[in-house]
Amino acid sequence: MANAKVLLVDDEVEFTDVLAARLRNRDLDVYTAKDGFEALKLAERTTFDAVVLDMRMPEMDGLETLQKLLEINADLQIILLTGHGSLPDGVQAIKMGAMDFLEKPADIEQLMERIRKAKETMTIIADQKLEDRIGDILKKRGW
Amino acid sequence: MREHGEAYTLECDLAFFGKITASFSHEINNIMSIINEYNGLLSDMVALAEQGSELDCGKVAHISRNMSRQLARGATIVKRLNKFAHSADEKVLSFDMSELLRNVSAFSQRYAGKKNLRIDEDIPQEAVVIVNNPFRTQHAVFLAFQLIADGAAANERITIALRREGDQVVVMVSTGRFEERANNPLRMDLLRSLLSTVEGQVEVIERDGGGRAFALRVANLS
Repeated sequence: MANAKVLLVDDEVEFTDVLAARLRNRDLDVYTAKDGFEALKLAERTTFDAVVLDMRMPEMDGLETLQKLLEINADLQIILLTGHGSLPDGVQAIKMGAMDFLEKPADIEQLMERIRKAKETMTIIADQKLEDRIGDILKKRGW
Repeated sequence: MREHGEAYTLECDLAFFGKITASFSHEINNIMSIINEYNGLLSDMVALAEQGSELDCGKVAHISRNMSRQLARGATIVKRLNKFAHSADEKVLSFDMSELLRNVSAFSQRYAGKKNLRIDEDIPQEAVVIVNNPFRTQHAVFLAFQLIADGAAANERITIALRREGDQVVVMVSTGRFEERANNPLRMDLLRSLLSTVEGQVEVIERDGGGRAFALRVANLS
């Protein structure tokens, strides 16, 4: 899964910094954002394979950020990090289009597994879009 | 003003207790998550060292210092949570109002963060000891804070101040710009009900330039 592009979003900067270091040790290309606003700016100019998003953030919380990220790119694979006993929040996130959710503190291998799955999904979506585009071109040319 | 009965006030007390303890537990969970990542980073380094890489002792020391700092941060939060939980032990206690307000200020940070508000404290360093109901007093101050925060313009400052006035203490919660549409009569009634149980009262002060302050007077029952 070399070079999967991942965005980590959390207002606890120290948390994202250390998690980013660990994911980079696993050959991921990691970006960080300290709030939803920064995450939206980054998502506007970069396509990520996975976004790891904290549920509870000041100003723009995880669910609002999730909704706005999906408005920018409906294909984004977003993994929510929730607090203990936040199953309803996680379910709500899935209903809103999140790929999955994990309880904080998350196990790195579980997170890596979700990121791997997200990368695979994004690759399938990109391949499908390419196939569709080629199909459209061929159709237009009457082939 | 609508008079709230004791049953309703108790129900609101319970909701306040739940909200604040949930907020504390969220902060503690954040700290545990950071320590978890540092611990994981150390494990990663050990795994690499076992494969022949040199262990960077400077980096290990740096991680250890950061873990200690997070543990100290956690200890402060646990101390505050403990103070908060014990404030409900007795209806009337002798307590330090300065410390109580610093605690309220700390657990109000997240609420303030929703609108990027900044909390300034104008609280004496020395103890201001009074006899009253610390839990109800905290509840009233936090409710006043919420009322001011809900009406404050984004990025504003909210000041929590304390002064003695004869036998009473006065807690002032204020902001420089308050939006009129944020008035919440039901919550104001609850604030008055809470304060009446600590032989206190609230005065709403309009300030030049659109500011608003709540002056909460709390009796010293000693």
